[in-house]
Amino acid sequence: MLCRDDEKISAWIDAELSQEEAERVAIHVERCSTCRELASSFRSLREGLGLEVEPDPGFVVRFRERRDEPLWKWRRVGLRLLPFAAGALVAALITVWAAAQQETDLTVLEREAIGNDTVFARATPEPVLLIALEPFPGEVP
Amino acid sequence: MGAADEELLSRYLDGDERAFEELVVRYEARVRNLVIRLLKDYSLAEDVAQETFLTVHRRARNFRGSGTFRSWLFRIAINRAQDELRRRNRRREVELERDRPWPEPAARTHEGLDARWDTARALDALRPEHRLAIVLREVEGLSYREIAETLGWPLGTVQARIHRGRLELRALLEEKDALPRR
Repeated sequence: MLCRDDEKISAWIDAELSQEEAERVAIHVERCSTCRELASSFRSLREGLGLEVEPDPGFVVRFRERRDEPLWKWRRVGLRLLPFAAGALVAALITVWAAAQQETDLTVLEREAIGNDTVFARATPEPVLLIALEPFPGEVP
Repeated sequence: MGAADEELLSRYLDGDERAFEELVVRYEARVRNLVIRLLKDYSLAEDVAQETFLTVHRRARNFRGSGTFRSWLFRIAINRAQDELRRRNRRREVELERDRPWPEPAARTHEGLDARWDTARALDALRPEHRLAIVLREVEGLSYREIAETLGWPLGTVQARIHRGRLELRALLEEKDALPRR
């Protein structure tokens, strides 16, 4: 049986509580074995997580190459797939013309600028993988 | 340490490309890690991470500075990863992750390594909102406030999702221990 307000246990181990609240939780944890066990198990979860990748000195080199590529070069597709990609681009453009006000993949970057992910609400039902996010306040629309 | 993120960004806007590259070096591992945790796929992490930095490179002028640079960077990484997920869904290449069966554990070589593997696999099975909250908190080390900024969630939602994510992780790991060997 978990104590009421057990959410505070998470905030406590994350050092997100005010000093006053943190002290109150600390006192409670000392007396309550359930909450003590919860805090301890949460802390050990932390040990199992963390960065799984090593820094890669080659990454910035590859970034420079992409940054300096001329804009017309198709980055994500091999050159042998270029005709296919061109066909896909034509199809995408036709879709844009056919549905002038609808957002498509071509406007992904524009959506980035306004941080507007409400397209999720208008598209066909999205699988649970995707998370609808509010606009990012720290970016100029 | 080096210059603050926002200062490097400012120098880049004044024309200093090296300043931007310093940001790339500073954050590339963390962005790749975040992307891997969201996509559950190592092979696409490079592409999506590169696209993230290219987007930031293009959009640097739009950054208003009311949040931290890194919360903006991570938000763009999340958006780029979700774009990739939508592309993937359209190609129907992936089953819903929630239905993915628990994989066989790798050969047990070291106790600590085993625990790490198990927790990472359990993380993959979390609901997306919980996984996102846990990754930003435990892997990227963001404060609740920064997570709220990055995702546009109220602080209370951040706290609740981190907490529920931890409960879910704990339950998954306990359940796995209880499962008979396959």
